[in-house]
Amino acid sequence: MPAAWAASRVERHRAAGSWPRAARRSCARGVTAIVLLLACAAGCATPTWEQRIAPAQRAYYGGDPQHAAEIIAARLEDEAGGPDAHVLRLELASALAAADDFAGSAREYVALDDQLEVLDYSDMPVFELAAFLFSVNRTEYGASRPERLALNTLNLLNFLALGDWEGAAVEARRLRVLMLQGDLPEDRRYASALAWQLAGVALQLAGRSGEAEDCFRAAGSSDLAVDPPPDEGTVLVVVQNGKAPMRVEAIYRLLFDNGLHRLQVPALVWRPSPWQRAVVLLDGQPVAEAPVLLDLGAQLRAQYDRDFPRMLAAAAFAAAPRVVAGQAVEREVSERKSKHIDDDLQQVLAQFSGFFTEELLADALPADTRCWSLLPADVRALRLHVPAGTHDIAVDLIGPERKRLHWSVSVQPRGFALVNAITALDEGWQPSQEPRTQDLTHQPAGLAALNMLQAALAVRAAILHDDHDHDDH
Amino acid sequence: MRPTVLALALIPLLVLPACFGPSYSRGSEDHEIDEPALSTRLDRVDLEMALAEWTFGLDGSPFVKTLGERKPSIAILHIANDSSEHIGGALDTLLNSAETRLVQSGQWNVVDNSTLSADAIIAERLRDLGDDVDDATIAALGKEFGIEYFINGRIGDTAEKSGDLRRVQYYLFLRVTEVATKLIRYQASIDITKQVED
Repeated sequence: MPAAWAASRVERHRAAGSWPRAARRSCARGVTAIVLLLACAAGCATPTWEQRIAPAQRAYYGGDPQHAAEIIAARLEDEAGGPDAHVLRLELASALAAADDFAGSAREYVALDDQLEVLDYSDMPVFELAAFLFSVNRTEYGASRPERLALNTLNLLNFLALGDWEGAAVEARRLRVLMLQGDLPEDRRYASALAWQLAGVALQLAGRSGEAEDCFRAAGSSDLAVDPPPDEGTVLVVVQNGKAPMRVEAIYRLLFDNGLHRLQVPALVWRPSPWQRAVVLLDGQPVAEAPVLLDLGAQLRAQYDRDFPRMLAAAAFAAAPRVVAGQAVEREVSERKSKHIDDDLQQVLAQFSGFFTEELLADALPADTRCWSLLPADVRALRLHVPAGTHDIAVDLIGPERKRLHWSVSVQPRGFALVNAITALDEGWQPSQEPRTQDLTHQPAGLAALNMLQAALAVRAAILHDDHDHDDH
Repeated sequence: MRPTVLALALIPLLVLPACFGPSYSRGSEDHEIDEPALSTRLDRVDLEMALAEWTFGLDGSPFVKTLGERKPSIAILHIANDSSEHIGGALDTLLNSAETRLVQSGQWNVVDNSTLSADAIIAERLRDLGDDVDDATIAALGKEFGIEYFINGRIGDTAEKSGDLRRVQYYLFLRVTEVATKLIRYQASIDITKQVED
């Protein structure tokens, strides 16, 4: 049973004023004892996702993806079958691909593909979302839709790197099934030009030209649909640029139930890239700038903004037991009159105790900030047709800083080669900045959250009323 | 007295891990473990049913009846994966099982697929083989390996997803082609449907 439900019963009895004074005092003492226990637990509370993944990120962004993969694999071994296994495998697959172990990465993605579910907050009831995001026992990781599509897109790149066109074509078809999913609105089906275009490239290489044309048509562009003359081949240059925004815990305040209460909500923070442009060079000569075909950061941001009021309402719903506990402790302290303390000081102490109780309980239950943190912020791609032979391919990364990446590529007549640049490996690691604490009570997201909270509480009250009637009978 | 009580108290603790460890079963003792579908990929039951249907059709076809006592040479080239599932391993197994059935039927001289794959040029050609086999490959099969008939095919699917439901409808096409005339002598399509609901 979620903690929110357990506490809701306590709250309802209190509101009805049906408890005798002695019972209330006894309950308050019990709550105080629990709070003390939780205060101890807070000291050793579960670390947040950003704390847990930091060692692997430090290795990955420091340019040692192999070491990052080893760190994640060791953690996965300890936590096999645990609630974080899926997200750890996503991180592991990213690290393996960056370490050029495309077969190992593909194995992880394929194994995960059947198990990883999309978690859609938009149609999830607030109380269910509260249990999902703020429960003591973490639930199995569910991916956001952009993450779910990224799995097949990045795995398609793995198969292209391995020269396995049939495997790449399978990933292309899996992407197509996901993108044309029956219950998805029409405008979101064609949102990923990269996924459609890469699917087209994979199917073209696998000799399925009809299917490939369908994909390029769906992409609304055939920039990557290069068909070289017999004595030439093609090089697909993919630049995975920057770091996708990451979820970290943020503290917000919201006025409800006669008080300004602390809410812990996953916030999405940008991790700026030092490079904004990627220019591709062939044998020392600039060819063109690789266009952004997938703005993963913007997609994650849009989804987060859409979900934020609902997450806030869920956080407020999950905070209800803490509010009850804080009020119980405050009442207990205010009723214990001491000869040595005057009434005003006693009241201040009581309020402080109540506030402190809520803060301690909140600390013991951090918000679920799990996310696929090794994703790039955006993906750019350019396909060149080149004479058969060996070529020098370079990518100039341009921004406040400049950097040039080099590859030597050998291409057969009508052959294909993939250059997969991951700029984050050269960006270094910095801890994500937590957003500052804000009172959202009068902001649009806060108002929307309060409306949702009211509706959720009304539903809960109705359910409890039904349960109570049922018990009476 | 006390050590005995302590020992008795410890016995359940020793037994407990055995109760919660993984449990293993053997297919030869429990036939039901092969039955349930665990994913939308192809499992042994699917492959055996598909192969049984195909060989039944081939054995009863007018084409095989015209062969009489003669044992022509045959090879299975490739079954292309045009589906949305990573079933390359299952298709290799299907190819090997089909070879076994052809050998056991006693009607064919079977040229092992791995013999063909040992030839680098043929292996490269077979790797990207779809529905059509080009003339140069057909000529090489006849000249270099003495093959009179070859089997090739592909598996496609219609995959759909809605909410928590994913359904894959497979269509397996297998055909026998005569090398000398390039005519298709036998062709069959086998349907397999798998579904998973989260």
